[in-house]
Amino acid sequence: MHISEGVLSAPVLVAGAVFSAAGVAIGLKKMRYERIPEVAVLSSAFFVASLIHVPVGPSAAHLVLNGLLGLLLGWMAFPSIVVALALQALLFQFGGFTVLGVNTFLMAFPALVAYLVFSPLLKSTHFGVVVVAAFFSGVTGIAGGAILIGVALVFTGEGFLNVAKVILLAHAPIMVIEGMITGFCILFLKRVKPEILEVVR
Amino acid sequence: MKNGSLFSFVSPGLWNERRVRRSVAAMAAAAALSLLCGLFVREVEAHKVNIFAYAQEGKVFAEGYFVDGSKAKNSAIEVFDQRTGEKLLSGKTDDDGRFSFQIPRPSPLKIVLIAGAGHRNEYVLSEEEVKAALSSLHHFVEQGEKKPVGAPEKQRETPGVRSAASSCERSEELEAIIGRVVDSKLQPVLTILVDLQERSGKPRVTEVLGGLGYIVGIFGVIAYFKGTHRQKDRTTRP
Repeated sequence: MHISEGVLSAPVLVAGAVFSAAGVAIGLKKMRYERIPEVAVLSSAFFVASLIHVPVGPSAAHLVLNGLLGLLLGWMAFPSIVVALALQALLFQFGGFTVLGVNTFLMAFPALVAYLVFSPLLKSTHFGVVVVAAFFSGVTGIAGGAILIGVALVFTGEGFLNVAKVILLAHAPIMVIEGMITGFCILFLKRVKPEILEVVR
Repeated sequence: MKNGSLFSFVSPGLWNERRVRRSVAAMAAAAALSLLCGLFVREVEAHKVNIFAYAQEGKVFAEGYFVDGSKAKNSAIEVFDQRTGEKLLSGKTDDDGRFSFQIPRPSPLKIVLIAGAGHRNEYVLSEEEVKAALSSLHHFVEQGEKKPVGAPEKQRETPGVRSAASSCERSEELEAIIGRVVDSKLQPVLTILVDLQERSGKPRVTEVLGGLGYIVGIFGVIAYFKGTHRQKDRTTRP
C-alpha cells in the first residue's frame, strides 16, 4: 500500500504532506511520556508488518496493521506511521521521500477514523462488541487506505472507480486477515492489560 | 530488562512508577515478538516494482518485476528522451515482463514502467550506453557483410578508424574474435547481474534490524525531550 515516487502530481503531494504534518504535530503533542515505548513498539510492528506477505487471493498483499495502530494510539498513529514509512523508504525503497506525506496520510487517516469510530466500543464489557469493533477497525484501516489511494490517483487519470475497485478487490483477503489480527490483539490486551486501551483523547 | 536501563537513564525517578514499568515490560514482549516475525519471514513482498534495462546491438531490452520476483506482466512502458523529455514510444511488457525496442535516437533514454495502482519505476540508460549499443550495431553490420558468420559483437571502435592495411586487417580480425569470445564469456555474468539486481530490491534482515534500531533511537530522542520537559515541570512546581 505504497504509492511510488513520480506518480502523483505536485498539488496532491503537497496536500498529503500538509495533512500529514498536521497529524504528526497533533500526535506528538498528545504523546504522553509514559506512552512513548508503546508508540515506538507499534511503529516497529508497522515497519516489519509490510514485509509479511499474505499469499491469499488474486494478488498477494502484505500486512499493514494501521487499524490496530489507530485503535491503540489514536492521533499518535501519525508520528508512529511516519517514522516507520520514512525508514521503509530509506531502507527498502518502498514509496519514497517525496510521497512520504501522501503515504503517511493514506495509512494514518484510516487509523484515526478507526480510532474515532471504534475505540469507544472497546470499553464494553461485552465480548462480542469488542471483537466486532476491533475486527472492523482492521477492515477500516485497509479499506480506507485503498479508497484514499484511489482518491490520490484520480489526478493521474487512472480513474477513481477503476483503481479503488482493483485495490479493494486485491486487498479483500488482507482486510479480513487484518480484522482477525486486530481482533485477536485487542482481546489479548483487554484481558492482560486493559489500561493500554484507554487512549489519550 | 534493557528497556528499563534505557528509560532510567532518561529520567531516573520515572522507572519506579509501576505503570511505566509494566507497560514497558509488555511492550518489550511485543517488540520481541515483532522482531521474531521479522526474522522468520522468508517471503518478502510489497508492491514495489522494479525495472532493469540494458542496450545491445541497437536494441534496448527492459524487464519489469515486483519485489517478490514475480514479473510485471502486461504493464505499460513509456520511453522518453531523458534530455528533452520528449516521449519517444510506448508499449506493453509481455508475459515474462519483458519489453524490447529499437533505439530510436542516440540520446539518453528514460524507460518508465507503469504497473498500475500507483506502482511505477524508471530506469535511465546513459548516452554512452545507448551510443555504444548503436555503434556496435554499425560495426556488426559491416563485419557481417565481410564475414556472414559474425556472431554478436560489442566494439566501440568507429568504422572510420580502420584502414585497408593488412596488418590492421589482421589486428581487426583478432579484435573481432576477442570480442566474440568476451561476449560469450560475459553472457552468464550479465545474467547474474540481472539476477542480482532483482534480488537487491528485496529487504534483507540487516536492513530490517537496522530499521528497528532506528525506531528505538528516534523514539529515544522523543522520550529524551519529553523527559526533560517533565523534569522541568516537576522542579518548577514542587
